[in-house]
Amino acid sequence: MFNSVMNREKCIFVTLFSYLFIIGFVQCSESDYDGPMSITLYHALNLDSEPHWESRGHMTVQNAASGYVTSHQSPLDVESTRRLKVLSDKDSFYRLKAVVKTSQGREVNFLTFVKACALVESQLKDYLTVSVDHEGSVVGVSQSTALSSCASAATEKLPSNFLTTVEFKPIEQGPVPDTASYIQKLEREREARERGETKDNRSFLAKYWMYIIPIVLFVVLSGASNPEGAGPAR
Amino acid sequence: MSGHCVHVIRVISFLLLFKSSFCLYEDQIGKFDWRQRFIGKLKFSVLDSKSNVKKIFVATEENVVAALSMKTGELTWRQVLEKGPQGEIKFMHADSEVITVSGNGPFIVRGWNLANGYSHFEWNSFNDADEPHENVLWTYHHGKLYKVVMLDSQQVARIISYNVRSGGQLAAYTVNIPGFSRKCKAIGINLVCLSNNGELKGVTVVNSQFFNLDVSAETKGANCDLLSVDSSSDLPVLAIGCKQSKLLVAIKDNTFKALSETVPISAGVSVTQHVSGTHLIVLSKQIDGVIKVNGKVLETDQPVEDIQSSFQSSSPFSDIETSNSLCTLRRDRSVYCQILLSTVDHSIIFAQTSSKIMWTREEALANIISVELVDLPVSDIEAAIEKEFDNKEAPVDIGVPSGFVGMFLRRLTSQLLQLKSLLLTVVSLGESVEKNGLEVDLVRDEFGLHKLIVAVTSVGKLYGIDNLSGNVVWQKYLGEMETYKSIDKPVVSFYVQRTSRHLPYPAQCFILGKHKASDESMVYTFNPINGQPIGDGLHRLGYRAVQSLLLHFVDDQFLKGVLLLDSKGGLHVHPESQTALVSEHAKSIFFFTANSESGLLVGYTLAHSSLEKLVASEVWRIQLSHKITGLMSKSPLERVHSQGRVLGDRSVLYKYINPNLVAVMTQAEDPIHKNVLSIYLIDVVSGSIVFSIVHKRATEPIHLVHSENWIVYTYFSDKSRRTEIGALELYEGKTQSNTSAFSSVASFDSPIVERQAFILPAGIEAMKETITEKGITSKHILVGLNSGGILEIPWMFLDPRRPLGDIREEGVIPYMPELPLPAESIINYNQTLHRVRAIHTAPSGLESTCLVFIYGLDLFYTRVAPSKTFDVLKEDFDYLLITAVLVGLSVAAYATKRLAQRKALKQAWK
Repeated sequence: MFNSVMNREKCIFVTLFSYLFIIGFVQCSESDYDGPMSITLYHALNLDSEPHWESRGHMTVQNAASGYVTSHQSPLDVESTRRLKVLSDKDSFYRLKAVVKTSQGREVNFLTFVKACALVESQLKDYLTVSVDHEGSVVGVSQSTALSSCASAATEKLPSNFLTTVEFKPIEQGPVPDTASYIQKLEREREARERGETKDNRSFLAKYWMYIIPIVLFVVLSGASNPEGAGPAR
Repeated sequence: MSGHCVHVIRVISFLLLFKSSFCLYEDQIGKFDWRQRFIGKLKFSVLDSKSNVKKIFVATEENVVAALSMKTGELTWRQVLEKGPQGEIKFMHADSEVITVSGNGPFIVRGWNLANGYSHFEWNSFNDADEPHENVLWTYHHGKLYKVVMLDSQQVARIISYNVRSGGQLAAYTVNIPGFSRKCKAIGINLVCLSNNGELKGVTVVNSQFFNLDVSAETKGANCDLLSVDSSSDLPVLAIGCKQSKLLVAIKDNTFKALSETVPISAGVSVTQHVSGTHLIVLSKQIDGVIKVNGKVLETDQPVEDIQSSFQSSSPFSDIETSNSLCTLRRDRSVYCQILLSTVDHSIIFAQTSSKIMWTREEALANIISVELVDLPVSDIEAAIEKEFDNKEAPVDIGVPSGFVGMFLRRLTSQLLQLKSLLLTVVSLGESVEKNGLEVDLVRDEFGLHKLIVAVTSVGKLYGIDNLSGNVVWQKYLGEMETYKSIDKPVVSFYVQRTSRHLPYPAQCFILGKHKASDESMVYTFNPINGQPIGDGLHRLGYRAVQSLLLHFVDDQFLKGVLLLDSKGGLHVHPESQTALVSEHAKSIFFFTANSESGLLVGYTLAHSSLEKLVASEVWRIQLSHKITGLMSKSPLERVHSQGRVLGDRSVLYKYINPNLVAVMTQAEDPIHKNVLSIYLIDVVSGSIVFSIVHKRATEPIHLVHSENWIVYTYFSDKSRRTEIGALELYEGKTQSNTSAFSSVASFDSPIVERQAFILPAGIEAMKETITEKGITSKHILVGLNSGGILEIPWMFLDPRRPLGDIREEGVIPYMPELPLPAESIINYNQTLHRVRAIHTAPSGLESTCLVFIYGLDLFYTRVAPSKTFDVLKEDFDYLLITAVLVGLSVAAYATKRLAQRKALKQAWK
């Protein structure tokens, strides 16, 4: 039997206070994501709570709709590789900052993280999912790795380059009540019924012989097996 | 052939589903449910002295006009006006009928029948273009309604008089009031203004006659304000209220007459008729929870001994805000008064001098903001039994060695207790329950149906309500604490830290609010069973908490801690003794904050904490481009019984059950698409946007329910002018990524999302899903309709997998765009509920039954059984018949056995 879901990472959220972190953002009314935009990536390979951001690479998105991205990521040096392994051994997080700069020069910061061990075990193969809202603005960047969980397998050698796939996830259109096809279906059913009624002018027996025969058979058989009923015939 | 059969089956299953709606038999009305009707905080009141059946006419801050019975305080009639500023009651007058002026722009004048509240007349008064909407005063005199518009640009008051019944304009003229400030009041036929230099100016609206009063030095200055004084006489009286005290001023023969001494500001004052043209002033004041009343003659300043009295009740009273009184002369020349008081905690008290409190109404209950249903503790006898089996507690508890002797002794005592209680119940069948009143009743029943509703109101008053009877068991006013505001709604953080299951520790609840005078946060920890404080009780924290989080683990006393994030980013654990425990679990604690204005969501982890210091470090950040208007996580109590769903081809589609998934709604005004509603499903541990969906031209009211692997939301579609319901369902696919546990960090491909929309031919005020103990029972959705009904829709009707074609699956009904609204599915039958704010559901001990508490202006409690009461015998179960059948069968069995034996014996002899 399946039981309730156990969850390792719990986040119990209850209240939301509106006055939190009031950052005065001026939202441009015209979509400033139409043109090319750039995503600059920084990562933190330190164990402290305060991230120490180092440049990881740069991506240029020609057009979010087509998903055409040119990326340039600097290879990991020996020291960075060592620190990444330390992070992995300590079961800590690999934190990534993505600074999205629109064609109009507006900058928005996004943070995301993966488990360092998952990144190491995936051989630095990762995915960046860029979520886009209905106006084309980027609302979130999140990183995931090729292998989702850590098998704690020892990795001897890491490639020096990240192999990153960027995916654009546009917002989807909400469903609308499907009245048109429902009416069509009703029409079809009505037509089928009309057609059925005109065609089906067989007699009662012709229509329901499959129900009548078993009943008759049953009656006859039960009558035959009854000795009293069969008595006078003898 | 087979198609024909399928069609028949489909029709039958559809009919069965309709039949499975839950109707109540007539004799079951009020058996499991109760309704209480409220009116809200008192604004205007008139004590009726003329009618045969004495009534009090009231108008309230909740835009309600009502008549209360003077004897019992019950509602004789009630009329609920428009919500919000459109229905705000500006003026009330009652003599031959109740006249109200409400609204704020076009003003609506209505007349109500005194006896039954039927509407007599209604007309609108529109403002001229140059007239401001605020600063319009109303007064009534001899069948004429006067509207006084203060035109502050010209220091002129425009006075328009109307025929109150027809709305016909009788006259309009202007009065110059040089040097007036905005502090004006219309009273009787007079317009009175308090100027900035402390001069009181009055003008008669009928003939523009001026009169002046230079008020005494202490009431001068800008800090003073004009206050109205309720008067049941013809004498117009008002008060100049300053910081500490107020000065009473009466208007008599076009002159002001000030009372010789001032009254404390927190005292309730009212004026009433006395013998031979004199008037009485009745003063009431709260001192140490007791209300003291005294009175004197207005004209002579002579105190009236008869009125002097003091009232108290089981719970202390709070400060009085308004009072109204009516005094009459008895035959023996003694005076007795009836006093209506309204206190700062929104109670309405009605008392008689030289007697007692007649009744009180807890009107704070009209504004409940948060509710929990708390389990009751077990009875003393059961507690003793539990103690017997609880070995861990043994050495602490009794002090005898915990060997077999101790165990034996404890068993003996508990069994003696059981014997005693058995004897008691046998001797005095239920009498003992009556004797001890409420206290005895508050014990857990076998089915967990008896619980205590703990309600937090917007005014900061807490209530414990018995869920079976609806009686208030305890109440507590937290005067210093007020609520926070989030997305324009008052909120408090309200957690159950420990349930009553952990004997000998009492249940404990936690409330986080804001200190009234400062910016600091306040915490109140209390026992939900009796409302008594536990530990520090109500105390200030010394910092401003911006986020709170109930932890998911308990300490050795079974207490769940609360983690608080202050405005400077520091972390605090409440109680502090749990800090070490929290740092142990730090790796698995994630939380997030959301700023509704900027749309910024930030996720934190405690993973970087050390044993000495807790640190919250930012791990994810999402920047939504619009204002957040709603945020819905799943109920922490929820359990999902079935992990998948069997398809037509017998394969299993696994549900995507992510306990960390939160639905975030944003709304934007768009120049092209008008109102755009976006819903983002965000995993708040990993910070990834799992799914997002957008609806164009979707406006308020928007409600969202999030449970198991589905989300149901409603909005008003501007395009088709109707309420639509969207349903989303998330599936992992044909394989399950991890069968034992869900991990947000161990990511996988995004879930499959099924979606569908439906039409609901009604307006929606609130929405909530049912919840049961183990999640086996199917889910229903309770929808509060604006017609006052609560509709129960089986989730099956909102299933996004309802097929349009002929694809058949088990338990799936064909798609129909419009949802039915059968009258049998209205769970509150004819008990209309006004302004439903929210629906609270809680599991009971029975898997089949879900407890439902609906609050708003009215309270309604009931229970629902979405899959019918499969685990309880029916109410009208025929015990007699089954006993008779059983007895008959055994007798017959015995008799036939004997007969067979005899026959066998006889045959043996043959």
